[in-house]
Amino acid sequence: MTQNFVMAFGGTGARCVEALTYLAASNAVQAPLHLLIVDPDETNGNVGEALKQLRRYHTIQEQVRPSTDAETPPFFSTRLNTDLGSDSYFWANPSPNVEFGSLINYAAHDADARALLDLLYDKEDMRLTFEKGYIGRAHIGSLDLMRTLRDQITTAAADERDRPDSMLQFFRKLRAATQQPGGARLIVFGSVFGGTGASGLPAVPPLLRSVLLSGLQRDLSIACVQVTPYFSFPPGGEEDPDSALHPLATQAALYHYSLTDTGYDRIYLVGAPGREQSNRNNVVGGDAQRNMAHYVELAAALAAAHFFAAPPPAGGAEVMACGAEEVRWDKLPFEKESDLRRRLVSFGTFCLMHARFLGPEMQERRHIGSRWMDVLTAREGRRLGGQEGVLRDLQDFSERALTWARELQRIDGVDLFALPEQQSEQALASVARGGTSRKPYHEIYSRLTATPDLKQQETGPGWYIEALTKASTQYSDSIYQGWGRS
Amino acid sequence: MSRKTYWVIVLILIAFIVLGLIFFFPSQDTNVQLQEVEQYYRTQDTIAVLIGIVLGIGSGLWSIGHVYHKPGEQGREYNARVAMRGALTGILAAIVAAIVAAAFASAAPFNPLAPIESVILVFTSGLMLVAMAIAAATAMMAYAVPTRAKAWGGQYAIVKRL
Repeated sequence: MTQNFVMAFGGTGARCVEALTYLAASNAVQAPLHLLIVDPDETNGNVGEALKQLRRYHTIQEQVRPSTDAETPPFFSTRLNTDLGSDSYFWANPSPNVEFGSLINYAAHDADARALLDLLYDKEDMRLTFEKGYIGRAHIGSLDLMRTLRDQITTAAADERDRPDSMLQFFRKLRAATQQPGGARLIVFGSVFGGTGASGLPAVPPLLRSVLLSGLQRDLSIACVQVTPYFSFPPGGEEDPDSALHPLATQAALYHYSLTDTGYDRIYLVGAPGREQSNRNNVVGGDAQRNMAHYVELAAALAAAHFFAAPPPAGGAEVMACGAEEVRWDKLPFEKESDLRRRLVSFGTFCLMHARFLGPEMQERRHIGSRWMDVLTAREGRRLGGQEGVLRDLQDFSERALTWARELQRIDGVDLFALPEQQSEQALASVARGGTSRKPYHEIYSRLTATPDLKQQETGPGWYIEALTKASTQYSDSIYQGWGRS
Repeated sequence: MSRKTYWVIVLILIAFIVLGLIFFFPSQDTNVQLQEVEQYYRTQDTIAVLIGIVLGIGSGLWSIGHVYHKPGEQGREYNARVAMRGALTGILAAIVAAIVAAAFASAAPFNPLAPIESVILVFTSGLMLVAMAIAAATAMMAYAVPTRAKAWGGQYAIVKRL
């Protein structure tokens, strides 16, 4: 079976992975994925948010058994980083405090090489450390990332037994997958205008082909999602990143890619006509660099879904892009094939029902004595006290997913979700436009209550997640008329 | 009202019916034949059963569409509301049975009594309470059937296992 891999560079890449996580959670993507986020800035808020969601997902998916019901499999049943720990999603820079000059062994080079380096980098560049990433300096990042990736890929290719490292594990799995029937598919996310993404995108294909798969039969399709500028932030100090320069950097990068063989079998070019302000401040890396979600990230995640479902034909490279004047469900690429609207809206309903109603009720043990608890506990070993760690993870995951959906709908011209701020149960019928329901809580709850025993679920949380998946999906099917199920 | 309380009430009603049929006697009037009065009570008991079945099933089906789960409500609180509707249905059935009994007594009074005297005659016996209890018990049992048989949130509110 073909194995699917996703590599994401920088904050933008991480945000695309977060969107992909929601596609996986909602079953819009069902093939198992192996994900890795690469960012030298471990504390970056965008990366941190995506990682928190991935780690919560990891905990939750361990409780959920895949269902035999192909029509409505339980949410969270798409496997991510199977057999690996929750630390496998992120590669942390092992030496963030070491100066760039030391990392590239400036002093050890001969005079000619040093002269070349002096031409390309000034003294300030040489003194730069990477606690906050490459800070938009792709000319530094590209050399450092190339060096790092080459080391890791060389070690992975050598098949030596050494320290467990997430990037090493990723490349070893990728290498093994290319040697198995079906081969492997790898998609790389990154921005072409920033620091880390712009540095990582061009480095991956040549290193994989020349080092990782050197001397081996290659069965690997590689694609990338090149994200062009879609957000802005206020101007800062002289040394701070300036989002006004993003279009210029993009123009230069795309011009370069148009003249060069990038090594990718398919390139998805994703962007937006407007550049919404995504942060109130000019933040240079770190935890405060938290941008609001954007539909571009959802489109990038859909590009990955498309790549895994319809890989490029062998030989030749292709560039894919699509556009629309409005951002609506039916205008999103790959929407019909992935049953996106139905799945994401049902998942939104699931999250709302759990985060706002059932989760807090279970914490107060108000679910004890209900009919569905009788069914849940009918099988020996299945328990649901209400205070389990996995329920807290589900609560946090759901709340973040709802915030993500709300951030998408704040953008003018975007008509995807319609989540109201109100706390009443009517919000359950307003995850997207067009829902009508008199007693939404009751309609979902009574479906949950009527769920038969789900024998394949061995744990209480697993049973609860599958039952609530069915209840939320059936409810959404009933209230959103004519949403053109594929 | 808990499921247990609900069924205890039904059992008490049944016990009252059995004991009432044994120990209560029809009211007697020197001018009215006793067999006529006994036949009247037998008819009212049958009518009470019919009233109970109709009202119980009707109320059960109505509850399915009108008793809603509320956010923050515990499972047993919801079940209690479902059960309370059943108990109220029982009371309603008893009242309807009494009204129908009065209507029957006044529409076809015992010869030679006036309509109002006929009504007073039948209501001065404990057997009238038995007829009302039959209506209430039947209504409560009938109410439990649709709330258990339909795939509905409260399906196990009153009848847990069949």
